[in-house]
Amino acid sequence: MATRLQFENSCEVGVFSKLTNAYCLVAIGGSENFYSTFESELADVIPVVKTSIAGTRIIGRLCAGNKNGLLVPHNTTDQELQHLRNSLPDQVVVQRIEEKLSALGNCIACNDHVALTHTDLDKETEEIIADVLGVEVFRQTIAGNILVGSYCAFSNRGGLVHPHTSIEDLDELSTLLQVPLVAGTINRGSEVIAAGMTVNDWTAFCGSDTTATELSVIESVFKLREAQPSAIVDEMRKSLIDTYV
Amino acid sequence: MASEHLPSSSSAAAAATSPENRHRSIFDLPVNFFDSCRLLCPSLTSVFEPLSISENYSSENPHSTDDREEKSTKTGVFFPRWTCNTCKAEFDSLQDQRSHFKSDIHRFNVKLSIAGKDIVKEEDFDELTTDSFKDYDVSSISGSEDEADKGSYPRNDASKGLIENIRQKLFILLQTGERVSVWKSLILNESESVSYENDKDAWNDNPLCLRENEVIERLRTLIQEPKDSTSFRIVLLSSGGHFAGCVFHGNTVVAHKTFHRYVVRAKAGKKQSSKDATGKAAHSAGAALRRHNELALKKEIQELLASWKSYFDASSCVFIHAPSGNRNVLFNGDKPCFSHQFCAIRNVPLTVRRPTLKEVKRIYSQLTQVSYEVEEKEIPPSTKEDMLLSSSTNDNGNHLDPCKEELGNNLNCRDSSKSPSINVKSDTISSESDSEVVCTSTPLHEAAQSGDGQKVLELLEQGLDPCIKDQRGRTPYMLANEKEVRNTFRRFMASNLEKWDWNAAKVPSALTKEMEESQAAKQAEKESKRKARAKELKKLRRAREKKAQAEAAQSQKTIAVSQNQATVASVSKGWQSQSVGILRISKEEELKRAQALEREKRAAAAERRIAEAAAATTHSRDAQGSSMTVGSTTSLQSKSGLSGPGDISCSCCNTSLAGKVPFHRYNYKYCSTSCMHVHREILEDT
Repeated sequence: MATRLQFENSCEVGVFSKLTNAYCLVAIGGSENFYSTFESELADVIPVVKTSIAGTRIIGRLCAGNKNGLLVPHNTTDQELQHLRNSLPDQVVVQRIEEKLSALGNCIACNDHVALTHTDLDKETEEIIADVLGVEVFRQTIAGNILVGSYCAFSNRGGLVHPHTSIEDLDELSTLLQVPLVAGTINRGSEVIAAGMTVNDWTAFCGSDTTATELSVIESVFKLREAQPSAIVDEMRKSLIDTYV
Repeated sequence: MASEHLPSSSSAAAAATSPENRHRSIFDLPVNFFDSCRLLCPSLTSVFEPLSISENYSSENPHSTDDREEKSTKTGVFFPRWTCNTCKAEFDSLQDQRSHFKSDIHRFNVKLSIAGKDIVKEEDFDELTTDSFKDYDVSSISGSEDEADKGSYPRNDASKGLIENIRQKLFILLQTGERVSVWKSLILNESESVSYENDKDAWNDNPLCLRENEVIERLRTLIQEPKDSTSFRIVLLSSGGHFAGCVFHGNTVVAHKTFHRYVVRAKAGKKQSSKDATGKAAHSAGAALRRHNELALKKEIQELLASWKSYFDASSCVFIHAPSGNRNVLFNGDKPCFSHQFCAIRNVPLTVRRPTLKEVKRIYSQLTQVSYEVEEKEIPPSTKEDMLLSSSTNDNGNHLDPCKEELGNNLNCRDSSKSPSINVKSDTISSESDSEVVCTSTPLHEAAQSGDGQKVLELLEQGLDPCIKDQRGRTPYMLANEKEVRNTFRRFMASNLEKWDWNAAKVPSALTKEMEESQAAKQAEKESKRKARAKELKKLRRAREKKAQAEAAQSQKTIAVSQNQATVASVSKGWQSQSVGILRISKEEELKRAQALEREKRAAAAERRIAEAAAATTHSRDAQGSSMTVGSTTSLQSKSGLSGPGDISCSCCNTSLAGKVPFHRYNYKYCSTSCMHVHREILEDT
């Protein structure tokens, strides 16, 4: 299910956290509230790691990753890199990229299979993305915005894109990414989707300004309602139980 | 990159074949081209230097717009599954679509569309990238290297260097009456200058000044140059660790070579050697690497220049672009590595981007081209003189820019009015500006959004279009948050119904004076009605209050007068208990005391009753009933035998509630809500 939360009075939770199917990165904040919200939702499934990147807290915008790997910008310090390598599961490859566009989170949007990238990324970076994250890389824009990482958020099950995306673009993107997409907003009308939320295949965290309508759109497009363990029982009951006594 | 022989450069071929192209290579000109021509003084010639890029766009535009229309009609009818909306392409399978999205042409088109330019088709991609879209050269697409300094576009260069260009060009009036211009550096050495007829002094003083006929003679020899001879021109560019050299014969590339070495300090900028020269030598691995690379680059370049000695010997001139320290690499101190007495070394008068083979070719084709100038005689000499004056005296660009812009505008206007061939361009410009008008925010938008009705009215009266939509397609009316601003629009609509398409401006209806008046009247009527009702209600309340007070006073009197009479006493006690109840809210202790007193009285009365009629069953039942009822026990008790427990009256006006559904508030019961309100106020007052 989607959770609403704040990071120190900011609703841009996607800026201060990075959620994937294999790990979750959380910025180091003044209070533990933000971290503990993630911890309570995720702790028994994936590691929740407190970290900074390049000495900043805007980790969600600086790094890009999925269950296979994590890409961090060139200005990440060695200590941070070491900390990430130590904290993340062994199968997750952590790679520092020499790319002049250092806000990788804004330039790359990816799930476990495909990635959309900024058109100006280097060829080398593109190759690294493909290798480390194990994805197919497409250079595309979202509603004319070159920062694809900021204006869309997608998991393996669905995606939310900039509200001004045309129907044709939406169709094109969803055939390209092979996930259903909707155009929508977050945080009471914010267009910067990825800054306002962070999502994986079974849960989402949204800024606390997110309205109920926005939340319900998110839950339906990312298919978060049926992602609960109980859903499986409910779903399978018909096939498991033949007759009631 | 190894040296190799290339066929004649495609740009030159295109220039020769296309009739519309107004730039021709000097080597493609007919032999008698410069026959009986005249050299023009720069102050008399046109200042307009046509922009080659925009030319290309103008010839490109109609084609691609047609294309788009065709596609859009297609998509209107049927929407295919696998598309690329950016490139306006359709695919047969997901694989095709995906591979397209990874391709260079897609990336190129995305960049173009973001820059607000028209996309290119796959067929045209190759020639376009090599030819006209020089700022997006292919190497920048397939490699990352070249993206770093792509900021300057030839367009900007052309407009900025407009005045500079005039001084570095020769303007020639042809036999046919056309004006053409060539770069001075093509035929003149740095130290040489041209004397025009009107400045005789210069001619007398300076031995290096060339007469007009000498210049034209040089031009003639240039185009009459035998095609089979081995007379070369060499272009050498070197900057920032990049080197590109190319030997040309006519338009043909004879040999070329490029080098790149990592010498420039990342982020900090400047070469390692210039950093070292400041005295603070760094000892990092990177610094060592860069020092080594610098030396290696120098060695490589000098080896190359040595191997090209035969070309240098046969060359008529060498064009060099090597800013600051890079000159050392080519000249090895003072002595040029390619010293040759007949070979003139000239600087490249154009803006040079990163040295690549493409850039060398571009520079060379620019240098050797003869561009036709637009004829114009109406330019007031004063403006031209001003312009030239400012260009010569004023070095800082801020002051110059507005002047240049104005000039550019003037020229554009004149241009479009002059020659029919450029009408295409002006059309496209106007259509562009139309589309811009549709999606820009105007002062009217701002005024409407800020709720400044006065400003809105002013702007509307000034004739601003309320139909203009902003970037998000909203008209000013849609942005108006306040009713008064919206009314301003509607009022203006009423007075200027024909002026604009108010339907497009999304203003729903006109607001005339009469309508406003009628609305105001309606409002006033409503208001007066409301007031009257309020007054009436107040009056009623007061009357009820008075009545209640009178009754209370009367009842107290009756208590004082006749305590023995049972019926009266019952009523009065009822009232008393009520008044006790009233007090209870504010003074609870008093109430308790009163209750205790009451209880004693009751006990006494009960004892009396029991003594009087012990056998009477009805009495005992009544007593039980009374002890059970809570709030109005006393009255019921005293009333016992006379009235049933169901008979209750309104706490305010005292009318019977028998057969009615009473309104409850606390323990009170009322006949109507108005009674309840009145009673509440009474309670609050006490």
